Amino acid sequence: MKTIRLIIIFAIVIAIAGVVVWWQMSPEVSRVTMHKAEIKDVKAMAQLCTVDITEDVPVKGSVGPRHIFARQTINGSISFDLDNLTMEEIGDSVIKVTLPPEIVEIYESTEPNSYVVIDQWTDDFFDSPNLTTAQENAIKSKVRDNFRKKIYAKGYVKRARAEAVVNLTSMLGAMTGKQVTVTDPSPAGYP
Amino acid sequence: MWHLLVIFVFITKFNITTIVMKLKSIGAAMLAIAFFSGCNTGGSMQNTFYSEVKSVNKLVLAQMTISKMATIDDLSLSEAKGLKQSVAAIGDAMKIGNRKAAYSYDTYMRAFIDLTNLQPTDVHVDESTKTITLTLPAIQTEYLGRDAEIREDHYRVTGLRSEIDAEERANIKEQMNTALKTEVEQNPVFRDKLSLQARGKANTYFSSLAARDGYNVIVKFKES
Repeated sequence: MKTIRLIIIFAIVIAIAGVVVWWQMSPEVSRVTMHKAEIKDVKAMAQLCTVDITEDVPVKGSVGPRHIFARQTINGSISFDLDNLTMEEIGDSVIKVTLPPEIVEIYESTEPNSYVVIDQWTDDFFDSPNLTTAQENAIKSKVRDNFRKKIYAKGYVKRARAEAVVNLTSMLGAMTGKQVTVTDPSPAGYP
Repeated sequence: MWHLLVIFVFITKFNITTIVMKLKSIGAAMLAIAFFSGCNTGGSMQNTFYSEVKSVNKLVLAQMTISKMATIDDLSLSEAKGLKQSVAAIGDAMKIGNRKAAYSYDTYMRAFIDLTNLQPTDVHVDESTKTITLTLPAIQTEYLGRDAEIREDHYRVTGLRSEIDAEERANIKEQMNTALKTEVEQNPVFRDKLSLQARGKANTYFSSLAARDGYNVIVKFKES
């Protein structure tokens, strides 16, 4: 009788261990299906980039009683289009170049955890705190617009334009073998 | 208890989903209180904000837009693999309503040469043949960033199923980002296409620059 009991206990233990092992070995549950990445377009360009910015910014916004607070890492880049440079040759040995308007590009970083939702809540007890995708996108769009203003206000564009004058002078000078003068009609940029 | 819940639903005139979510929120809040009252808080490291502004001298020659899509759907029993997924699939089959959505966004890569690596010896002029031999720094690629906004290509959440909230969308985007980077690393087509375009652009750009004075340009690239 005792032996039978031991056998039953042993069998139960083995069965439980088997289920645990099966559970551990089985693949994780994911309801998300990834589709292949697709190249939408590839475009050639000649742009001189003089300032790169990486900054964490708070994303705080409200739609009615619903609120969200998140942290976002933003990549900013200030460049100048060299394809449409105004170049004027003065004599045989001098080239006068006018610095074009800056191109300010702002994107969310691709580094891990570049957008983390910290809190979302509602003032209305019986309402859901969920923002729709469109509402959340509108808040993010405002954050980007504010970041663009900040880039100008903090003088990053001014710095980028000043460095573009120096870099362009040396690059074009090396390529053409002539004396290059780069003039900046708007040192503070074109906000 | 059930009577109270029915009256509660009737009085508030809100749909079941909202009530279930509210109860979930209350439950989560209670759990959080129980958890944090039982241990010392370590402080959230996520609140550390980082900022960097750096001067660069990059000649950007090409840019690529890559689109990535992900879908959310219940697990079906026929497609479930292993015990965990089978249990989850049975759970999903028992739920009332559907929960399907598709999201996508664009990521941008660029190819550039770092002009700080350009030396005076990299430009060789042969006046006799009117030829400039230009040895440019190696073409590099980098991620410029991704769209902050996410496109909602499809959304159908019905019955008693929970809505897809901002946190879940952020998590999906994170997974999509990781998957995209893995694809780009494993498939050389992405970087090759971008580099090819950049090489072509470098050739045409510098040729047109030197052509003003009647020079031919031979563009070479250093090895990375």
